[in-house]
Amino acid sequence: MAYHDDLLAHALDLVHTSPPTQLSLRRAVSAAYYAVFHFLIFEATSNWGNESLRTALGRAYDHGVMKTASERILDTRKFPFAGEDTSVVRNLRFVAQTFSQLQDARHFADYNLTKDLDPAEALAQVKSAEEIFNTWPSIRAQQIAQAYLVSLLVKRT
Amino acid sequence: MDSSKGCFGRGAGPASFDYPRSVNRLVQDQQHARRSRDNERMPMAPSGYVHRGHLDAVVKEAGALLGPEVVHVAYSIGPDSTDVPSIFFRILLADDAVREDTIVGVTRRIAEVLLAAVRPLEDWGLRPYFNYRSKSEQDRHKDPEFE
Repeated sequence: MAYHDDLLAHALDLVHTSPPTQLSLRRAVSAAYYAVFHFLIFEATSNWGNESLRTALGRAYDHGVMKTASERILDTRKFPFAGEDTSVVRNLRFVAQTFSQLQDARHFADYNLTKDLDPAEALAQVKSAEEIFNTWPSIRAQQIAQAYLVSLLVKRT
Repeated sequence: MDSSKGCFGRGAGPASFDYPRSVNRLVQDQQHARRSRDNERMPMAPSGYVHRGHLDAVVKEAGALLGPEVVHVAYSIGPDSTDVPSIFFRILLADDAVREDTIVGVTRRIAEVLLAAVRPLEDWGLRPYFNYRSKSEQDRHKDPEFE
């Protein structure tokens, strides 16, 4: 299994820990974010012809740039995606929104101990990460999905 | 590709590649933003003050579009983990909606409805986030953010 698959499986195991603890819930959300982070990088770098250099290329990806790029395509005025298949657009926006959401959720899970992390919240986040893995194959071949992958790497300074 | 230049080539910029139009659109948007802004390191901010009364009404109206699995929708405004102004929807779910086999469908639908109806980025300049809690969990904790 690829590393991102292992991370997702790990997140799902953790979120089903019974009884749930703050440790298991927080680590589940964190693992879910990194599963998606590495999954998107894997998908993007798979386009690179030289297979042995893909992991090195993957080091160029930056959390902040990826979040900004994800947020940008949620803006329907800037990116109306006119003429595109609406179900593809819907799924792509789901991926982008979920990536952005998971990044913030990971930040809370790893750093913010002022409040407990709810089991329902953790389950929602982890299952959303899993849904990205399930959804992506249906849009992978679409040009707007590939454009999104490229945008994840292009730094906006 | 000239491998001596690396992925994008020094100084060439990504737009010099023969990308399809949709890719170029994304890249050009970024280049335009880079040229036209001299406050690159300032956090994004909404274009004006958020009129809470108006936003309250919009969120309330949007909440009415949601199904019975949603007990209540609250929200707060504040910076996210990157200090960007954001709206945090706090959604209270009926206990039977918080199930392994239903939660993704439920939360996806809620997010789509609220994004379409409230238009947080387009109309308010706020990054949207969605947080969920079960009714029974809220009954135990009485968190005012979900009230």
